[in-house]
Amino acid sequence: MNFTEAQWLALLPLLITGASPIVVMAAISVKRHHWWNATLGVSVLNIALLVCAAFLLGPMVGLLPPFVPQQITPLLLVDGYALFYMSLILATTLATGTLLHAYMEGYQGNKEEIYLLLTISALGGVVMACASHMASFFIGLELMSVPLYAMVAYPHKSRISLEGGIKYLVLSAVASAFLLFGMALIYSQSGVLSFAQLAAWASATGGGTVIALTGVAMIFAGVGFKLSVVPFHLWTPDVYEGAPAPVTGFLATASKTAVFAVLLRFFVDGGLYRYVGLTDVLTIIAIASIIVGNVLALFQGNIKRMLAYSSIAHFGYLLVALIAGGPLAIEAVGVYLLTYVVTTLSAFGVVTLMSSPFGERDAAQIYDYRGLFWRRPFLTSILTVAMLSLAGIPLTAGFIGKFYIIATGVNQHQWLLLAAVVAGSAIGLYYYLRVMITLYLLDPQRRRFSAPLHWAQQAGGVMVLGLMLLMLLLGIYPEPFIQVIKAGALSIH
Amino acid sequence: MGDTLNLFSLAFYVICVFGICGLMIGMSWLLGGRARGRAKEEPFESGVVGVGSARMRMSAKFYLVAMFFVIFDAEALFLYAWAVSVKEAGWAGFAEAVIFITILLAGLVYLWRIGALEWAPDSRKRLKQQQQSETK
Repeated sequence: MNFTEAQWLALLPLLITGASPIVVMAAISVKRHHWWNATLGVSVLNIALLVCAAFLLGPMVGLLPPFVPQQITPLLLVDGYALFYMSLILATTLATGTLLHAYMEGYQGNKEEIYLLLTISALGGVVMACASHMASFFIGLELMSVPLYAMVAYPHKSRISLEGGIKYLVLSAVASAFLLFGMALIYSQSGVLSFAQLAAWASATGGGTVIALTGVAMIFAGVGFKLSVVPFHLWTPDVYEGAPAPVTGFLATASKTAVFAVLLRFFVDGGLYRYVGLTDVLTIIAIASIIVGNVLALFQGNIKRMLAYSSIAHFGYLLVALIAGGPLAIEAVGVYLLTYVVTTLSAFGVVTLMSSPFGERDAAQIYDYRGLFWRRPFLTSILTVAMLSLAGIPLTAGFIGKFYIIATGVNQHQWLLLAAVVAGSAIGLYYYLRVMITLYLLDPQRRRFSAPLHWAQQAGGVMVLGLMLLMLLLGIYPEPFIQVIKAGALSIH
Repeated sequence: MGDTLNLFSLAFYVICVFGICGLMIGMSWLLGGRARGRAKEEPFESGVVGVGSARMRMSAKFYLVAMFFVIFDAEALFLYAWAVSVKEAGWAGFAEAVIFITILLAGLVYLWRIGALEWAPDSRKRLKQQQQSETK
């Protein structure tokens, strides 16, 4: 098969991302040096991000002709939607890279291989953002998950990390088994694997067959494991606690974003709304995720575990937009994922910077943050904004996201789901604000001093500060971001 | 009618299977000799006393070799597929094969440089000392 020039061009971000692990590998073989190897890998990913951004933003400012969606083999579809999610995944990977650099400085042993794993995982995410076929869906998912096992267990001398790694490995194997079996069941009925053909089949048969519905349910079970929605959430707190803080951030943002992106495309392009009963099941899952996630987060003394439960709840909110559907849904998911990624990354960024350089354990207990304001005022302010944004307080990014979710629900009269969202947010306020109170408590045992500011001069510090500004900007003036997301919306058939 | 016949033949088959098993065990129980001894009642090797523990420590290099073999062997399989269709694939196929081989080569260079190919204990020890002196 010969590609046209336009197809090559559309494939460019994927090719560059694919080149990045090779570059890192070559760099390590030339000379093992933490800063140099990491910078090289990150700069290749930067080029890929720039290309994506140019395709997405170029037509908006009138520099480039409008981007024409390109179907590249039956497997990949590069359109505005794919470009938006590719940019989001790549930006998240880059942020994780800078955090990893600060974090790994203190690690005894080979530090450089984690960038190799990170870039491979990013490639999997990018493939998933473009996937328009079951095969590329599965390949992307595996490509993203397999390096993650190793990343979770990277500090292999620490028991808790190893435990997290093994748990994630077993869970992912189970999820993949569900996913593959579901795909096989659908294929046995329809004989097609691409999303568009599946939609045609579903409308031709008037909602598929029972076996195909079982297949779709199994695919949702597999994806549910990855998104850690209730009742597939049991692994989340242990893995989040065991993984190194920057890897936890990556797991909570890039990996989930990619999975949700492909799920949404599968749902819309694959015509899944035609299957009767599916939305009812999803409604139960969404409500359970919101309630269970928020209630269990109340009892956590470890900030990583708390964020794990909070991410379960956030994906419950996201499912609300998916279930409600309607014209606003795609945009709502885009806005919510953007705000969620920015907020969660900055929260994990602060945890990472508090734990850097790598030591005996991560500073993840809430008492580690007691009176942090009197020692590290800037870091505290970032975490404060992140907590407010997670809670969805106005003027922060989280409010815009939640507003969109509720607007989508109201449009489609999903009152039960909206009640769950409101109840969940109310519970959420309690534990987010509890962390904030801890930050400002006067700790009589510790001296008041301002920690040296050198963390802010590092890439990780600058990145987290930037994320905080972005959170505020998203909350105060979201218009430009919404324009970008509109450019990257899926067309609903 | 055919179904019943099939069922009968299946039942006959099952009876035969159990019959043969029972016959073999029963005959050897009836006709076989008996020998008693200290270790003869043990199921493992019936009478040969084991030496040492089964929990030996094996060098993990064997796994490394096995893994390299599997990886590079599986990659080479793709080249076979290309080799039988060189003419049809044309220059585009050639370019793709070159990229594929280059990636494999980069992997091999990486493995060589991190010392994964040093299997002898002496050279590994030297490598470790070298790495430690580099990090200091």
